[in-house]
Amino acid sequence: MAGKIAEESPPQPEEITDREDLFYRWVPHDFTKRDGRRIRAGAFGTEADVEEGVSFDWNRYSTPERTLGRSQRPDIRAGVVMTSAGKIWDNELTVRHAPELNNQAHSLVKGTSETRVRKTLASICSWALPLPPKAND
Amino acid sequence: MTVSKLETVDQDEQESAIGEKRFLAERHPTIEDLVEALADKQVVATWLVRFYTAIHELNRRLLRQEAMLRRVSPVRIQEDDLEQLESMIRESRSILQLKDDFDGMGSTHYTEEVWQRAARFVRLQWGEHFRVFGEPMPLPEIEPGPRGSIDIYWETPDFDLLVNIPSDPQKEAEFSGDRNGKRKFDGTLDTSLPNRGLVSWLAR
Repeated sequence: MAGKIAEESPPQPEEITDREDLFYRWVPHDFTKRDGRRIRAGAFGTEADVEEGVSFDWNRYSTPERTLGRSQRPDIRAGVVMTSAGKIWDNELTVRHAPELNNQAHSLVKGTSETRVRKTLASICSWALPLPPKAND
Repeated sequence: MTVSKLETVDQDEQESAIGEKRFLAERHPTIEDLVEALADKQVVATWLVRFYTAIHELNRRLLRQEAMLRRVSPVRIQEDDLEQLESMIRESRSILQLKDDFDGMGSTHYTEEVWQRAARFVRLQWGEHFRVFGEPMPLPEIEPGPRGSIDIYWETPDFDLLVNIPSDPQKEAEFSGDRNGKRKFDGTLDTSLPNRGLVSWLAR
């Protein structure tokens, strides 16, 4: 029984200390503009993001491909954006590891207000895996 | 009386000397007069106070003149400017085509009501900017925001500003802005009113 409980507990959070560490997030095309070259601030604020912070995957436990593969909707045209711990800290945001049972890479980015966090993330994230071309391209 | 003599005379004579230098400063002095007078901090301070008082008064008069001119000959809104604003608003209507869970992350669709509120907010600020500054404000982008809300985003080489129009009409809009990456600007505002602070911030 004790063994079963231990199996169901999420992994322990680890400290993020390296400025070069990267964080990935899945972004659907409706939250991009200028033919997918730019990311809209709306990309960083789903239902799940509100309370705790904006979800990202830490590159210690993920890759852009794995983050893309975690999507529940592979039919949606989407890419993966990335930013670094250094950029997050330099812009007065914080990031902490918040592992989940099914995603050890899960991390949360927070800031002083929701618009401040979203606007900043839109400006410091770049494509790790750009949007695939449109079906009719 | 010269500056060197000032060092040895009594209080009355000092005050008299200061008065003399003030008088010197008030007429049209030569370079030598100025150099001598600038050695006295009191004279310099007097000049600065008078300078700032004069600038303040000049500014006050200019504002009065501008207000009077605006009343006498109000600046006409150009058709082209208005058309650019309305065209941007019309294009943003495409947001309403997004269905529930369009992003695969559970986002809800955007209602006509929240889009109308966003459009009205932009028109209000545009009108206020024109009224105060006599020219159109930089146009924002109206974008899909999180959880059925709409983002209004201004971006120029000098500043960016994000205003979020919430899906709940009872809630205030939250905003965050940066000017040249240095001056930060955060808070909430009532979307049903023109916001003088916001349009002043957007002014070129």
